[in-house]
Formats: sequence, C-alpha cells, structure tokens
Amino acid sequence: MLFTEPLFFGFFVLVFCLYYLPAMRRHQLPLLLVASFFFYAYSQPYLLLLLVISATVSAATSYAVMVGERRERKLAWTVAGVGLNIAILGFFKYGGLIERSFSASLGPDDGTLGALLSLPLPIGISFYTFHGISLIVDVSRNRDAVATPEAPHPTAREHLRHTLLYLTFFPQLVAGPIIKAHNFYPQIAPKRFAAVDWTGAVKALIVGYFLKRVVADNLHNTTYLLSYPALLTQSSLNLLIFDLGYSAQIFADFAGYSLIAIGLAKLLGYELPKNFNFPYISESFSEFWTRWHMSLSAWLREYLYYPLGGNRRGAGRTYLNLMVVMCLGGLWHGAGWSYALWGGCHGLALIAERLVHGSRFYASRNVAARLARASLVFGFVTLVWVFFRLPRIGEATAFFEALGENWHLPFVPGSAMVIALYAAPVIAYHGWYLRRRAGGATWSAERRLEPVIYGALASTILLNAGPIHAFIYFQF
Amino acid sequence: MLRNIATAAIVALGFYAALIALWSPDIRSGQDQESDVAIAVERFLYDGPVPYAAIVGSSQAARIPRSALGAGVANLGLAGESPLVGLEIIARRGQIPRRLYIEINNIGDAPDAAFVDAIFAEPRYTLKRFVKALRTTYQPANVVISLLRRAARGRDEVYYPKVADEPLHDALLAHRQGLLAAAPDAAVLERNLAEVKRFSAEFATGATELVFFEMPIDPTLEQSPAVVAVRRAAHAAFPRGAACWNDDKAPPGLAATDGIHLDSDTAAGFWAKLAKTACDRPQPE
Repeated sequence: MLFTEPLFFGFFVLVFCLYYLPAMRRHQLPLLLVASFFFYAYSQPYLLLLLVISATVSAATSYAVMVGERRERKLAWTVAGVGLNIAILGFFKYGGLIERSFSASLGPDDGTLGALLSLPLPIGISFYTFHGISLIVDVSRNRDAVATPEAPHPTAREHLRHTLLYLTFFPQLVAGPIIKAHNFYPQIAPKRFAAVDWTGAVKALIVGYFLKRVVADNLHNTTYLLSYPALLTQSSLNLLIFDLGYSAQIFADFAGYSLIAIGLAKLLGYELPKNFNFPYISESFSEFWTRWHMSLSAWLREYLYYPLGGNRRGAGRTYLNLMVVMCLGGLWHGAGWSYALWGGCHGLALIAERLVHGSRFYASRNVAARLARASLVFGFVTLVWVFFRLPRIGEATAFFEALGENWHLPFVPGSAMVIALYAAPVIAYHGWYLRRRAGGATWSAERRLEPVIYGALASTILLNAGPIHAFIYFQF
Repeated sequence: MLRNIATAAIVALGFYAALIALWSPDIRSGQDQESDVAIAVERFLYDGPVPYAAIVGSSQAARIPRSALGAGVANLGLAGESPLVGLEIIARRGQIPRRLYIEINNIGDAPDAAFVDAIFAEPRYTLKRFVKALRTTYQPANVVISLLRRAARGRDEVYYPKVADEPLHDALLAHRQGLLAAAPDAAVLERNLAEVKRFSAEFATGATELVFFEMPIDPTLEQSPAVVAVRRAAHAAFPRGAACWNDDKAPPGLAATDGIHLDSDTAAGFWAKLAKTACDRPQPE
C-alpha cells in the first residue's frame, strides 16, 4: 500500500480515529500492530511471515542478551542475533545476485532453494533488518536501551510486543527513516489526542506530499527517457538535463516519503528522526552524508564505521573503513554491483576530500569558493545517480558514452522545460533553507508568509499531482 | 497557523478555479506524453458536443497533428494505448461521432481497462465537467508549458521533426525490427478484433461509418511478422466486401522517426488523404 493511494487515506483515518478513542487507550499498541501487519500484507501477504519471523528472531536474541548475566553468553547471543539478521537479508536480497554472479541461475522449479530465490524482494527488508541489528547491538551495550515508560524492565512477552512494533511500525516500515532502538523504545507509551503535534505533522505532510506527488511523480514521466535504449537517441545536453532532473526527482521522492512518514508518526504520537537536511547545498562530500539519508548515515556510522575503528587507527585504515562502509552502504540499496560501484564512488570522493582538506580551495570561506565546492559536490552526486537510474553497468556505461558522443544531436527543449519547472521547487526549497540560515532583519517579516506558502503547496497538490508512482526507495 | 494554512489553500484553489473558468486557455499538449493523452481524452469528453469524426488508435495515429485535423475531428490516438481504449471511451460517452477512423497497427495490444475505469471514476468524472481546474488539461504545469511553447514557437502543439542523423535513424530502425520480429499473441488479437466487431455493431445502429486504416510505416518494416499478422487478422475480421478500408499507400520518401512513428509533416499529409476515404459503398476485393 502506498502513502499516496486513496485507499491509504481511508486506512489511516480509520486507524487514527480508533487509536484515540478513550476505550482504545490501553490497546493502542495492538491496534498499531494489526494496522502495520495489514499495511504490509496488503502488497505482499506471503512475505508478512518473513517479517514476523525476523522480528521474533530479533526480539528473542535481544531479550537473551538483555537478561544474560555472563559476558560470553551475551556476546554469543549478540553475534547470533546480528548474524541471523544478516543471513536473512543476505539470502532474500542478495542470494539471487550471488547465485547469478557465480553459478547458473536457479528457477522457481528448481527445488525449495530455487523457489525461495525466485521470490520477489521483500519490501522493506533492508530497513527492518537494520532495525533488528540496531536493537540487538543497543541492548548489548546497555540493557536499559529497550526500557519503556510503562515497562522499565520488560518481560519477554512485553519485549516481543515492543519489538514487533519497533520493526513493523507502518509509517517507517518499508522505507525508513531508520530509527535506532534506544530512540524508539522510550516512546512506546499510551498517547493522548491532546498531545498531537498538529502543526508539525501538517507541515511535514504538506511538504512531503508536495515533493512526492507534484515534483517526483511528475518528473518520473520525463526522466523515464533516461533509460536504455531511449537514452541513445538523446543529445548530450538533454542527457545532462535528464540527469539533473533525476537528481531532483530522487531527492523529492525520498525526502517527500520521509516527511510523510514523519508526519504520520507525529499524528500517532511518535517522533521519527529527520532524514534529509537540504543535502544539495553541501560544500563537501562529508557534509553531504550528514544531510542525505541521515538516518542511514547515522546507522552506518554507529554500527559499522565506529566498530571498524573509524578514523582512530591512522589514515590508511580510515580510508579502508570509509570504502568498506560506503561500498556496503551502496550495496544495501540494491542487489546489484552497480550499487556497490555507486557507493565506491562516494567512498573515493570522501577519501580524496580528506587528502586535499587542508588546501586553499577547501579552506576558503569566500562566496565564490563555497559556490564552487557546492557545485563540485552537487555535480558529482548527480553524475553518479546514473548508477541508480541505470543499475545495469552496461547501460550506465552507455549513458556516459552517449554523454560524450551525442553533442551533435539536436537539443529537445520540451523536456528540459518540464524538468526546469519541477526542479525549481527543489531549488527554492534549498534556497529557503539558506535564507532561513542567514536570518537577518527581514527574515521575521518573511516568516509571516509561511502559512501562504504552505497553503499554496497544499492547493498545488490537489491541482497538479502527477500519476501515482511507487516510491523509488521501495525497491531497496 | 493551521487555520491560516487552510484559509490560504482554499483561497488559492478558489482563485485558480475562477481563473481557469474565466480564461479557459486553449491547451493542445501538455508536459509529457501522459498529459497529452489525458488532454486528448478530456477534450473529447468535456469540450462541447461530440465531434463529427474521431480517430482511435495508438501513438502512431497520435502523430497526426491537431492543426491538420481541423474542427469537427477528435484524435483519440492515445500513446501507449490500444485502439480499443478509444472505442471504449467513445462508447461510454454515449454520443457517437458520425465517422470513426480505426487504426489497426496496434490492435494486437491488450486494452488497459484500469485506465478507462480511472477516466470515468466518480466523482472526479463529473466534477471535472463543472470544475475545469481539476482537469489534467488545466493543471498549472500544463498551462505554463503551453504558454511557454506559444511564446517560443508560436504554437502549442508538439512538433515531431524528421530524424536527420542517419546512423541514429538506422539504429532506431534496427531496434524496431527486433521488436516486430514476433507476431502478437494470437488469442489477444482475436479477442480484440471480436471487441472491435462488438463496438462496430453497436455504433452501426446509429449509422456511424467506420473506416479502417493502417498508419504508414517504414517500407522495410511492412513485411515484419508482427505487422503481417495484424494486417491479415484485421482484414479477415473485417473483409473488404463488408467493411470500409483506406487504401492509401505510404507516401514516397516516407520519414518515420523510428520506423513506425511518422514525423508531424508526413502524418499531416497522410491525414489529408485518409479524410477523403469514400465509404458510400463497401469496396470490392
């Protein structure tokens, strides 16, 4: 079920109304579980079993870690829990890739293994297994990480219910934001209607639906030309513009989804972490990764980069750690070597940046230098998005070849106009943030325009929504 | 704050609805192919009485420019859709044009029932009749793009030029040859032709004249397995003795941008001949 489908609105209104009924106050958690199971099962009913198994595995192993007294037992359960989560993710998401890469493909008629490998990718598996790993590691570090206001020392049954909610909470189930266990569990408590952050929720929902339904869904119908073999017929200038359009589209799609998830969670009394902080104004690659998919960056930093040693073991080890984290982070996005390549490109950029960090170009604070750095980051990020749009390496290669060779083909302005029209709100969105950051005497006057801006965005959603398309990150 | 946001939204909606109701700009094409399809359908459904004639078909028939059609002819050649979709839309409107030109090139494509259902889904179908601003035609982006096109080129219509780059044209042609190498699913083709027969029987009660035609394609593709299979099946279902066919051949030096889609000028030239197809008596074999 998509957040943008009419059915979802009816579903959410029903859940919301039931959730805040006084009689339901003590049953809010079971209601959320039922709603989340229904939400997930609506599109892949047979894979709900995998989700429940994964959640149960995480609950059981984390509980064993929590109640274990001896350090060796706790470590063993931690390793077992993390290992099982990785095994589930590895088999269902990467099993096909590994099998295709190293042997002849098995089909659905080739026994149980073939049948399992032929299953479609379970939606959200990358997210809920990362939540499971976060839970187990957080508990191993601090057994109070899963304490809730009503259950500071949860029983096994309470912990199972809380963990099922943590992993299946429908606003963030299929595409995040990834919230760490020690940030989610303390929020598990009965919620009151009077405490709903209406302003925060409505603002997040308006901007989220605008970015998704108006910007991303409309851009989808133009950037589809950035596909193989259609891209072979496009001029180099058109290809560049399509790539820029895709850059705007993927930001609007994912940031829009995240804001919708945050807004829906707020309506249910839960705070999810911010996932995007105006990433396209970044002046360095390291800054970009503190602004883009922030919840994933935070997860990788805490559960992978730091345990590998971070930057504490010398330059060489730091660079290795960066490459490992970025390549695995890329591979997390999709079961294809092009995603690892995408991550590797970012890893190389981070390393290169560290090497030149002390240079005048990077140290200068004047406007021209900052603009040049931001342009460099944005240009690089936009170019390597091609590996997302064209996950077959051969097709991505064809794009770069066409980019270099098709300058003689005629430029088609029509699609460029459309991309410019829908990229403008993305530019304005970032510009508004820069203006807010700059502050100044006129800012407080400009702030009074906020209701007008949100009202205009809301009306544009009704007037100019594009055809409904699935969220790009659903495929991950 | 929330009250102010809601007020601003309502004012913005009301202002735009009033603007479109009073202005009603002549929008002929939109921001993308999907919008173009929606605009063509909405023009047929909502803009005045039913036209004298209509074309139903796919993206191939859609290449006939509106400026070449003149008043009284609607082009329901819909990119990405089968001719059956156009026929279904006409049938559901309930008022049938006096002449229907039916493109057979893609009659082997399964019709998209969900697309047609979405067009007629209530309450949007009825609301769009009275609130123009809700139509895809008058989406703010389509209005802006239309104005920009008129400012830049003096016309709103999308113009498809000839492909000047020979190697590119050859590559597109080769790709198309591959796509047409296999005949369409025979069961789907038979089912679709039976549906066309049902529509033609229904429309014949209102004395609507049906003209079957094949959009010209690159001569090197005319004997492709897919093209031949569709042609044979269509002629078998609607033999010349009983149905009206356009027999105009492909113009010399035909320029199809990718082998099957004509450039705008060639498509306009073909329409000039198609419109003159005489169907006073069924044509003998």
